[in-house]
Amino acid sequence: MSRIQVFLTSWCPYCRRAVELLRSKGQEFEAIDVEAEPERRDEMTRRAGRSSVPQIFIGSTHVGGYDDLAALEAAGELDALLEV
Amino acid sequence: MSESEHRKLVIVGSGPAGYTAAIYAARAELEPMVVAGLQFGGQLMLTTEVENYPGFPEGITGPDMMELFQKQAERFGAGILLEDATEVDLSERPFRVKTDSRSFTADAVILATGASARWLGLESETRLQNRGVSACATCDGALYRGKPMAVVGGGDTAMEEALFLTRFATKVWVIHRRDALRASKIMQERALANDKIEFVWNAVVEEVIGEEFVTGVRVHDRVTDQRQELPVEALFIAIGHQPNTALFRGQIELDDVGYIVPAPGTSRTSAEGVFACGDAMDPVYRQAVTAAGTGCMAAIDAERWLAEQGLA
Repeated sequence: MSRIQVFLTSWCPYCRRAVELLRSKGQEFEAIDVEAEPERRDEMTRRAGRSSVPQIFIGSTHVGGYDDLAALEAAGELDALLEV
Repeated sequence: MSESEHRKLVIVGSGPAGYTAAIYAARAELEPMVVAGLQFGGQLMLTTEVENYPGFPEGITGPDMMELFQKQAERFGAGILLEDATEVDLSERPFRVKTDSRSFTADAVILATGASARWLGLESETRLQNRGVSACATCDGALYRGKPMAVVGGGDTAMEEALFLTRFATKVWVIHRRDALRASKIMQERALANDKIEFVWNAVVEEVIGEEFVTGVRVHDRVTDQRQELPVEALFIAIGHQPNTALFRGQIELDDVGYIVPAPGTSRTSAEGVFACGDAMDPVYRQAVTAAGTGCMAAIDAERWLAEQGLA
């Protein structure tokens, strides 16, 4: 299984959707709260090239935000990326 | 694709309308399947405080509220599928609803697909989405803490977003194309009284400026024909909604904008056995509580119809 990282904040609705979708697929992931750990916010912006949350990484792939995750799922490509 | 599963009732959508329909239908032992979609929870997932839903005197956040709705539907046995409906065939009975991995036939269908935020339609807006352009202040506002921001729109949503953003922003411009607001009186008063909010009247956004991230927005005053650049780092679009009914076009009666047109005073659509509720059929009220109310109507109408057909 690929290592999953989700950069998020506690209040962000799309973060909640991303977390719920990954959980519904039985996936474990590292949740990084960029408000609690502001220094990791910079890491996120640098790696993702985006300033919004969530930013989701599966293995070495930068998926993007929830819309991108949902688009992969809608295209039937998420499971392959998750190697499930 | 696996074989179709048959259900008495399939509900498409999972906002307050869809989940309320599911609660009622599940309690009526119709064993509904909720095709919740990837935007599960609907628009309430994008709101902070819900202050006007009866029964929550202290308010409740939208996502918390939707979690409660979902739990209540599950408690009575509703099935919930976090996939988008990709195809809905209402042309013959049983009806067909497909998602990526599953396929259902259904004796009755409730359409509760809601509405989505509308965009301005500028190339620069699309290019800078998630890079400072957003349709959800609740989602992204705090990311621009300590920066100037702008909101486009003149309705309740725009006022709500502007007021919410004053928590983080140094300043919030509200760009509105008219010289008066559409928002309710209470929201107007709150916004007009807020020192951090400045209104830009009679103005349209011509371009969102920025290479990698938003650095400003150019607005055009339609009365004076003047242009100015506002030095904002975030732009929130709040110019109304579009019903999510593209899947049903040509199958049931929709109005010019795309809202489902039910028979007056009911949830019945122009296709027998197909019912509608929530924002997908409501261009007027569009509240969580009215969506829940029409969701209840749809479940009762569906149950009675199924009973008449000997299918319940």
